[in-house]
Formats: sequence, C-alpha cells, structure tokens
Amino acid sequence: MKFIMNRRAFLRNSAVTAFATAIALSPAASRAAFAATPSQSASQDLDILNYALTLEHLEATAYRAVNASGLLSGVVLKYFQQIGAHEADHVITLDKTIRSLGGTPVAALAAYNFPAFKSQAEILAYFQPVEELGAAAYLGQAPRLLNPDLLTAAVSIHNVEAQHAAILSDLIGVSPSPAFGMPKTMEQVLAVVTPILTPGVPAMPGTGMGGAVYLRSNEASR
Amino acid sequence: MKLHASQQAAAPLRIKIPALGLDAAVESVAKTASGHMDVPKDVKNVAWYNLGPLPGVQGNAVISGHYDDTKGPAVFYKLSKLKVGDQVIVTDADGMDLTFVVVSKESYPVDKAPLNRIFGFDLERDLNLITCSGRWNSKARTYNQRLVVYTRLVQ
Repeated sequence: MKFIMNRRAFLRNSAVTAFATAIALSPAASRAAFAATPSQSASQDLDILNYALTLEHLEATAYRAVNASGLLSGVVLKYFQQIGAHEADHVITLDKTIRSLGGTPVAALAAYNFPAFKSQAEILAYFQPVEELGAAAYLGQAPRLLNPDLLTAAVSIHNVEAQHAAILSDLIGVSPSPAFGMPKTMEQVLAVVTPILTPGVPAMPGTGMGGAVYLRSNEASR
Repeated sequence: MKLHASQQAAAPLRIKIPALGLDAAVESVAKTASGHMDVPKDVKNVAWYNLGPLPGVQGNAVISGHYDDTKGPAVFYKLSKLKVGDQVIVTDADGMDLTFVVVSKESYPVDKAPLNRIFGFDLERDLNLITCSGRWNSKARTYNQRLVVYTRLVQ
C-alpha cells in the first residue's frame, strides 16, 4: 500500500507536526504561553482549542471502537486504522498545546452515544459526514483564532480532516470534493454532535393534562 | 454535488402540518429532572428535543406537543388523524423548509414505548412527533399511552 504510506507521511507532516512545531517555536505562542494572566484573546483561542479537542476525542474514540469491531476489512480497514491514528495524534497535540498555553484540556467522555453498527457500509455512511463536519468545524473557527500560529496549525488539521472526508466519500461512491469547503459555526457543529455526546435516551414526555377528556366523552356518546 | 443534509440543518422554529391546519412555533427543550423529555411551556407550541438530532440530520429528531391542557384540546390534539403520506414541514432558523412525510404511527403504553427506536440513532433523517393518547388516569394525572407519528425527510 504505497499510496497509503505516502499519504500517511504527508498527512503527518502537514498536520500534527506543523501544529506542534508552529506552537512550540513561534514567538507569539511563547508570549501567550508565558503570560502571567491569559489575555482575552488567549482565552478565546483556548476555548476554540478545547472545542476542537472535544471533537477530536469523539473522533478518536469512534475510530478506536470501529477498528476493533471486526466489521471492517481490506482497504477500508487500512484507511480507518490510518485515520484513527491521525485523530489520536490530533488529540495528543491539542492536549499538549492547550497545556502549553496555560489552559486545561477537556477530557474524553466516559461514554459516547455511537450507534450499534452492524456492517462496514453502516460505518462508512456514519463516518463520512463526521469527517465533513470535522473539516467544517475547523474552517468555521479559523477566522476566530487570534494567534496567527494557531491559525496556521488549525488550517493544517482542517486540511487533513477534509482529506479524510474525501477518502470516505470516495469509498461510498460520492464526489470526494466540492469546489469550496463550507464552514460551520460552533453552534451548528454542537447541534449535530450533541446526540453523540449525550448518551441515554429520555423517557416519554407528559403531553396531556386531561382537559379534553370531556370532549371525547361527548364525541363517543353522539 | 448535492449538499449533505447535515450541512444544512439549523434549529427548528416553526412546524406546519397542512392536513391538520396546524402552524405552530417550536420551543427547544431537554430532559426533566426525572429523565423525561420536557414539554413546551405554551400548549399552543410544540417542543424539539435539543439533546437529540436537529430535524433534517441523520438520526431521530423528536418533537412533542400537548394533546390537551386542563381546559381542552392543545396543539397535537388531532395528531392521530394524520395518515401515511401526509406532510410535516419544519422551518429552521436559516429560513429553510424541510419537508417530512408520515411513514407510520403507533400508540404505546407510556412505560413500554421503544425509546431507542424513537430517540436513538438511525441512518435515516427522521422526525418523530409525540403526544398523549389512550385513557386519562386522574390519579396519576397522565394519559396511559403515547402516540408516535414517524415521519421521514423527503426534501
């Protein structure tokens, strides 16, 4: 799988390494990291990084689960193992970056509300929009990042998430790439992932107060 | 290339059901302290379960509405009249109309409803409408059944 190995090397170089290097070496990041009191801009950047980490935890956990499910095989399994490794790298790098900037990284949840997959086709159908969402999430936050080094690094991860989406799109037989990526706001993304982040279904609602009972009695007696 | 529906949906604002002459505002609710899906504050409105999917995205979005209040019928009083093929139109915060059609309806004893089927994940873009049905229990102050109208996104 020469293509896969080359792609792997490329993705690693373009995303994680770029992120870590940019953060570690940049004067701007150093200033932010060693500031006695985080500025408002650093705080906003940390919120965005923790938001990204929340999504990366979700993705990394999801890939770990399906890669161990025994439902994947062949080239799909190889791609999923690679992509899962990327997501795990994103988690590690974001975690370190948040700590280096004086923030507290969010932890992975103890459980996620993933579906009970029964086939490879179901897994592909589920993960393709997840990767699209991941790419759109980074694109949506890029203009809000105030540290230019973080911006460069975030775009490098966006690029990788978009490539994941393209791979999965190709595997399910849809066009791998639109002409333009579409950003999504934090609110839009959280609306989609909240069900995954909220395990457990509610009991049925109480949608009656008894006031129509007399009407039904009258209708029945007619 | 057609956009994936998950890239288009936003929070629901209004629901229209032409077959019932219904046009109502959509509130946003979560769970009660006892773990039940919450209900709309105004009995003229319906409520979208905001811990579940948005209407139009993959999975089971859920909207509930009161069957009645203490004085008489409420917004979903006639929900049981819906037939397979009837339209349910949700307008979201982006002004987009999402059209669903009724695919089936079922009434369940309130404690035996298939919660995973109603609220859990699936690969379709479904919207499930819930209201009370069955017999009024004046001691428990609730109806003994819940009606679920299952609808699926068509455009």
